Amino acid sequence: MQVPRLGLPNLGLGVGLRAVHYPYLLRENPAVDWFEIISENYMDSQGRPRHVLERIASRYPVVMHGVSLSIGSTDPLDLDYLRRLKALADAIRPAWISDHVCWTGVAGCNTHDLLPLPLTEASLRHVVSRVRQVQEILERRLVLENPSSYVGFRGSTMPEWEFIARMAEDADCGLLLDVNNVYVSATNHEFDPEAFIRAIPTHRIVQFHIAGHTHCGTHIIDTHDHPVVDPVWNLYRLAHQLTGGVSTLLEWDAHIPPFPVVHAEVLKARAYWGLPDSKIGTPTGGADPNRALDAGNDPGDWRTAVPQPLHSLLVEVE
Amino acid sequence: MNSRPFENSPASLSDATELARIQRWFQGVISNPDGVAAGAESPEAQNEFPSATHPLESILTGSSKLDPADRIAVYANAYFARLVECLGEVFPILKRTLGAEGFDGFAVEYLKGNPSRSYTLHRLGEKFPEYLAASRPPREDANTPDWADFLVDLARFELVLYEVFDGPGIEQGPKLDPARLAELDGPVAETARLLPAPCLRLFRSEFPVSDFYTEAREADDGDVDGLEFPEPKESFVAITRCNYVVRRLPLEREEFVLLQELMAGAPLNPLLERAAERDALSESRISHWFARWASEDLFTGWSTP
Repeated sequence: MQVPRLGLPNLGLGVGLRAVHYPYLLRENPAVDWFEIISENYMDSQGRPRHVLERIASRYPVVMHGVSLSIGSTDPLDLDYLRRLKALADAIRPAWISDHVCWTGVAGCNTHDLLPLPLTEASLRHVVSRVRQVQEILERRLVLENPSSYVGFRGSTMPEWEFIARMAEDADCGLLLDVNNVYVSATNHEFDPEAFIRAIPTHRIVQFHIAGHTHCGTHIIDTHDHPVVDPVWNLYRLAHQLTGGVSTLLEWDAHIPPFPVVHAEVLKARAYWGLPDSKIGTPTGGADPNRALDAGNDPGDWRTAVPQPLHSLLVEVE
Repeated sequence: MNSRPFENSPASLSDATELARIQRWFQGVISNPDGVAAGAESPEAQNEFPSATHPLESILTGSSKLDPADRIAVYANAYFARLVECLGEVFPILKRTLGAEGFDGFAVEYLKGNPSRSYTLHRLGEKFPEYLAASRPPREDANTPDWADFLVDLARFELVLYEVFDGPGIEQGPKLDPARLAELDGPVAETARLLPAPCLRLFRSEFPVSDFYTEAREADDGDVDGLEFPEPKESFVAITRCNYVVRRLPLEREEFVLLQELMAGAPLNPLLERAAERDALSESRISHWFARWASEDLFTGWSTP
């Protein structure tokens, strides 16, 4: 087992907890290392989602992954949200709490998307200050993820990897390195994904995300609705080599297959541990099997592809 | 990296104020249903960076394959797609009844005036039935409920199901033992008030909404078009939850009224005497209802002053 980072353990290979899998999980109690939840799906729940979570948390390690912290927004921090987030954490005792380096809305609105920040000194100061406040409120270290992005700002003054590395050091927070997001953003912004991963301080990385995406020809959308592609696995191998291995989580949020299929997908990660890095993938190298056409989609369908994660509720009525 | 030094940007990003302006502009551009060009011309965007002096390409970067407008359109396309999809999860039968195109049209119009202001998507649809009611065409006959009334009631009904499913319930709390309910008699019953289960909701409609919901849910996707709007027929339903699954209990009109009064906190015996006289209710009919309510855990206990 690898050395814990920032005092946080390597939980192994986990899967995102999704409502469509509740019956299977409760019935079969499969041997899974850990689960990650979308925090907002459970913070206010007083029904079946919360009940299932409590049962899952009693059997498996759980990590809370949020989508509404909006750490980069210029709106005031939502203290009610943070209070509820902390209450959920106090109840289910997650291994850690994570969210994204992004903003989700401003002027009181929430777009429920992970929107990009201009990568400037001002943005960095703003985010670092808010991460510190959130960590004080939550009384624990926050773990932040690099999001996928689709557009950049002319006013940006530093690359994303520098922004994230400096943010992590200045705010003393952990990092969730989403390897698929690195690949998606590298394709969309035409940078070298390997350079991104090599520039991230490995001692801050406590978790990896892997996921599938939709390749639209001109860009990639982070849809979490396909298996992981080889170039992403190869980046994962690099990240694993650099860190020595940290908790790894597969996200699958649309067209979700049965649980054993999802679980088998994350278990493929083992094949990339300790293998030579002769085939580190680049966005420009080779065909991406998740191209919209290859996935059986009409090429125009990319306009309907929705970046994930999307939190939702499946109502059960007799 | 495809960016320029910040001093070359018309949109200065040197401080938090500028960051706030950029965010308000960005949100204005991506949250317009007519696309990013219209979004850039929206008051929200124009207030921050007028398009005449700050075109999209002066603020955003392109790539070798996409120009800035196409790139920010990924967010704009996703904004309505995501929220409309979420509304469709809250109102699945309404969506099937209207058809996806019709439902999406209503949903987009609703979202224009009711953007999410919460950290959770679970509240996104809470004003949708009100919106439908406010935007409905006038009835042809003021005294006869029509298809628009039905659709509004269907939306109200599905919202109740949604709220009951994830709201407070009785799975972990006390329930009223039917045997104990039978003991509620004498002086105590003069002042006792029954405590409704926190998940109990009463629903009245001019249409058989719950029956339609069942039919539509059981129909295949392809068959739902064949379901006709039901004829007006007053219906009453209790909605509750058992073992984390929502349950529906059809009610008689008098039963609905009595339950409504009990839930409002009326003292038991005086209410039963009044209701028996008002609605000519027999003792056996009332007893039957109470046994049913107890078996469905509609009440958790009673309180006395």
